[in-house]
Amino acid sequence: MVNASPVLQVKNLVKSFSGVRVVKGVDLTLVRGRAVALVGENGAGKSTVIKVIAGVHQPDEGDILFEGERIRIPTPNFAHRLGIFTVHQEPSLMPELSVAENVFMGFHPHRKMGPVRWLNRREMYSRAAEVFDRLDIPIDVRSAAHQLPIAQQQMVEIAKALIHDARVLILDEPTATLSQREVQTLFRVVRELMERGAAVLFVSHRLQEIFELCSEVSVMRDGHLVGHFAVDELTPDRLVSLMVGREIQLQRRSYERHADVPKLEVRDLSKKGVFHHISLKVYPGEIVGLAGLVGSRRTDVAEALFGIAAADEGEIWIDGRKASVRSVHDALNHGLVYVPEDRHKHGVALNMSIAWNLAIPNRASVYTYGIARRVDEWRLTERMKSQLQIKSRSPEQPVAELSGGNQQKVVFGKWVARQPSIMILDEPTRGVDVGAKSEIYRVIFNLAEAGVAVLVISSDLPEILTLCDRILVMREGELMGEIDGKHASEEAVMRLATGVGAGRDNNGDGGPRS
Amino acid sequence: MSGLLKRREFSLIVFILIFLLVMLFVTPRFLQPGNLINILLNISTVGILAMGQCLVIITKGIDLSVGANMGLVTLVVGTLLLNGVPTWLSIAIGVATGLVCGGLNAVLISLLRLPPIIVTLGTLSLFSGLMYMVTNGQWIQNLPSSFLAIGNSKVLGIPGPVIVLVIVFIVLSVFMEQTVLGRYIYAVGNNPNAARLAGLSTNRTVIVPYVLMGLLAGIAGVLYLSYNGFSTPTTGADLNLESIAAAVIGGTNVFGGRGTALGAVLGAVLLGVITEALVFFHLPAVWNDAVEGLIILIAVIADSGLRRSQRVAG
Repeated sequence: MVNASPVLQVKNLVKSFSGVRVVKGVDLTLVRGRAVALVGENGAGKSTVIKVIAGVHQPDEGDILFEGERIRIPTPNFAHRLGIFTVHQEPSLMPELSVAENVFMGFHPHRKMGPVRWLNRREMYSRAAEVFDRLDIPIDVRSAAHQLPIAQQQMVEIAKALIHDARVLILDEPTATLSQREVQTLFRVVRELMERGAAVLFVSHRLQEIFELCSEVSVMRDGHLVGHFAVDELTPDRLVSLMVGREIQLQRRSYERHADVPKLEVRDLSKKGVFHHISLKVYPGEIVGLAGLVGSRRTDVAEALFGIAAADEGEIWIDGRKASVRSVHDALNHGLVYVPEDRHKHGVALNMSIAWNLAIPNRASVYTYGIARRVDEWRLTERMKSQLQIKSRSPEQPVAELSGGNQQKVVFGKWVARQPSIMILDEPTRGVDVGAKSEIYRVIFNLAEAGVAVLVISSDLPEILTLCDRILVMREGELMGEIDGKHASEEAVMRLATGVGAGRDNNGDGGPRS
Repeated sequence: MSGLLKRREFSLIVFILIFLLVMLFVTPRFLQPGNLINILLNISTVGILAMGQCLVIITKGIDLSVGANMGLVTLVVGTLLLNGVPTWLSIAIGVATGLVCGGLNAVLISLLRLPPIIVTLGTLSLFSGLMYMVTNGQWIQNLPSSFLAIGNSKVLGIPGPVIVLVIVFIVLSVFMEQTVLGRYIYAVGNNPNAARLAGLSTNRTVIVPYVLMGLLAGIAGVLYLSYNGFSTPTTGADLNLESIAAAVIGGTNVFGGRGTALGAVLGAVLLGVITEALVFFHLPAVWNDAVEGLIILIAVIADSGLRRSQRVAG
């Protein structure tokens, strides 16, 4: 191990926003060559701590020591000059600019002549290409960032931090949208940086990753530091209970098929160049998982089913009758709803209130002649708040002020309020903490118990294994096979998803094809 | 290659060429070199302003005051000249006036963080009012011939204002594409939040396009006055919107982050070609506005169509 002196120390950090204390006296020490995990439920204050270190926010109280010296970090730029680089949670790309420019933003390779800094494009492109080589990502660094799928966008975000010889590297949930393989490459590169003396602060909700990468864990709850532990003294269960302050179990349910007619049946659905011959059935009360790596076109199938981008060929049957779903309107009329993947982009209007967001897809029950009936809007909100356990001050609170888990529940609520008979959930717990995750699972289970046919798309394998009664695996636009939820293992799913060690007509590890 | 074909600049060139070809069959006189150069001469002021407008719009802003700014410059320069101030000094003070006006917009928008559309709406009234005050509502004419010679000069048959347009185009293109500051302007327009996290000072970056816009208004004002030989208190009133139109037709995204100097100039050229065609058809000038409006709508629709096809491809 490299010299174990602390690079960065945070002491008794306090930070409030509009009078509300978010961080209440947190200590943190980052040491050369070591990775410290910062864990806690959403809203515990992790992101605020990170933003103070990154120079985005200023602390109200407390000290920051860099190499033993007390300092202030007034801007992100200043943090960068100290060698502190941050991979922020949500991709913050510049869509019209090239991948390379996104990576080098603020650090363009240039030659200075007088007051003018001339951009050195050749160097920028070649260095960017190098970084993606190191990350094992085949990417055209000259292409515009808006053309990338979301997983690669996250890799661009990560590449931004890796072009520098970071002394402190902060990773705020960098893996939320990444596949297993991408996570492994990321970890390899992060370990290289650690060997060269970088101190790493790692935030993740995937506990496995914490145990894999980090040597220490700091646990935050409700703005406080609950404790600091060596990873060896912890088990995943113990860590979860430290985070939420209570024992939580993510448990499977038992399910027996009651109906003979599938609620939703898809026959030979194809879209040229996107997905081919997708056939699947979901019975009332059943939860079916759609697993696969990022880019396996699961979302495209969901969008076809919901009428956003219709398929070229194939049939959709609902309740044993052939249905025409050419638009979202059609889908809704058939009782089908879709909870999309990227909640900030498609799910909620962040600046609007909870009540407003919930009312939007439920116009019929809330509006008369286009005018909102406030009482019904509030009634609807209260109903969803209690059914989904949304934590908020009032129905008029803007969604932006809620934690990630509660925002996601609002997205759910919009559609649950319609009392759908078929729900498609795309990454239902992405970026959501363990506590909220278990609550969302319970909501999904309850919906299924009530007879809703649920199709879950998720890249989070434990999630698929916990939730689903049956698992369908996709790869590159094709269904690779089906696995019975009771006997499924992560390994079995991954084998089908990656195509490693499995033939094309393999039906998986067990369970008859229905 | 497919990227090139999708570029607005390319489709504009094709469109302009097709248009010229059609005109060739209708009236061969249209394509005489003299007439083509005349078109460029006519669009030299709006072309210069459109490039500035393009920069401003890239940062998610807009400058509604630029025509009035340019008009004010023409009156200031004209008044100075009529009062016997040397030509070079009048020009320098004129350009400085443009810079100060642009600087005022920049300060209000970047330091006080006021919305560009409101600020420039205010300064539009302010500059227009100043125009009346400078000359008491009188026209400026009978300018010294030494000054008029600038706008009417020719080098190798190419009029001075066109040469200035080309120089401004080259300088701005290089600035926008090849300098770090130019790239920062795109960055701020693409995603202000990400720009801030990358360590850029968004406020300081936003100053640049408005100041440049002011400088360009100064240059355009001098060219306008020396070419036309007169100016009125309403000079430039139509250029506020026309410069925006040219930039948008040239592919500048009204939501920020995308646009090029070449596109802005081509947008101005297209407007100029169409105006000229209307003259050839002896259609009244009022048609100009209608056609201009139609092209803007087509450009915006084409834009949204292009985006959609890219989304499917991506």
